[in-house]
Amino acid sequence: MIQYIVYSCICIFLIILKTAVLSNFALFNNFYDILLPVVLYLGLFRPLSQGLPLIFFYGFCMDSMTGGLFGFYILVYFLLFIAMRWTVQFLHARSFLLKPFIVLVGVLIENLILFLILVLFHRNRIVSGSFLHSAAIQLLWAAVTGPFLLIAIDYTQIRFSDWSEERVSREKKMDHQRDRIF
Amino acid sequence: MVLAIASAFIIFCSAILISVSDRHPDATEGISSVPISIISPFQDAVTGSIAFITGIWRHYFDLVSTAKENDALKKMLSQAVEKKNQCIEIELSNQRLRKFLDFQKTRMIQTVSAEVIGKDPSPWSKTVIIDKGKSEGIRKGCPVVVPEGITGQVVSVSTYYSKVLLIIDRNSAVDALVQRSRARGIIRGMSSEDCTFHYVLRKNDIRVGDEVVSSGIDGVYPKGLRIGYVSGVIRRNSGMFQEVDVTPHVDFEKLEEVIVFITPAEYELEMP
Repeated sequence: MIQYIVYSCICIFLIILKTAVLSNFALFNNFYDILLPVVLYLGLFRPLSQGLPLIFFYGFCMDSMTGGLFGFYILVYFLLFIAMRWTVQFLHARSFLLKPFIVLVGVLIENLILFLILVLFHRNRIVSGSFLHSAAIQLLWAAVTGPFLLIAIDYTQIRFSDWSEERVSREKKMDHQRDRIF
Repeated sequence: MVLAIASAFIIFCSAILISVSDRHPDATEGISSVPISIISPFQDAVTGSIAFITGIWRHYFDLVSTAKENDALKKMLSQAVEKKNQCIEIELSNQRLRKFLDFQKTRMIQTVSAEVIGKDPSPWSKTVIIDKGKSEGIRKGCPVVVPEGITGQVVSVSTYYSKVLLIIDRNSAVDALVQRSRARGIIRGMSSEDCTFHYVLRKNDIRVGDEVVSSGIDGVYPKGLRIGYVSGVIRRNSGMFQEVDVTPHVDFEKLEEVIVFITPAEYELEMP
């Protein structure tokens, strides 16, 4: 349960970081979807039972906060989650081949899905050059920062798991001592 | 196998959801305001903290430039007072003339000023969250402006917060007029800093630099509000319409405070 709360807080923290802090700097105008590395991480390293509800929650939050079509982020996150589960059947999740490119590929897939939706739902409007410009900058950001963000999430998760295990074993030890006293 | 079926089901449901929200944007309004209500207070706190720190910097460490600015503002104020007197005179004569012509205009515009507390987390959408909602009388569809011109319209409202769709978003549309030639068209966002002016007939005279204002026909924005200026015109040999680029007067990067019109757009503003 505590894992769900932690990941939900991470989601809220990242949305606030993007909307209230990074948005003040013109440099981050075309920064990619900041929840994407967490979604990819959940797909790669966390169990299905934990990942699915969180993916849905992330998608729902993003769809509510943005001005785009409702359901877009739920669809994208779910597809990426499935893609990651499928990828780890062939490649080792902690492989050095995977980490540097995974966020880049995620951003590319997200942009392609948006492009397809724009073509399907807004056929009368041409996808402008600004879309391609934005996508290119997002890919650049993903290439530069993506691997580090994944490493940071992985490190935090490992530390958190260690802390949880330590706490559980300490509690068990205390229970055992209490049983011996009484 | 179960995973594959579940995946197909969720993908199908998402596609249906996207399709429904595209056709009927109101359908998801109720549930989508829940995360806004939860996340916006934190956004408000973070934005407030940033504004506080920026304020300290601006007010306490920048006193020299403030003193200079103060002198310039005093000069401007005296000019403004002079202009105000002229305006009062014009207003009085305007009222007399309106009465004379039996002109119907009695309604006062009710406004609410709000602060921008967050921007869109998606790089493709252009919306902002403001710190006023239903409790202040804001409803879905209320026009949002700044002194420079039209900013957008309210698309989602919770009790204390609202989401505003900016005119530069690709889902936004404003019925507009070219002030000089009265050519009509629709201003659409491009999700960049510029807009395009659609459905302007080729026969209409439009020049770079022309002022574009709201026409009031869309029932959202009052007539005569400034939108932007024409920054490019392409008139091809074929086709009914010409391609017109419009640069908004509002600097959406520096949007901090906005004014929300609560009164329905049944009135007409003075043409600038």
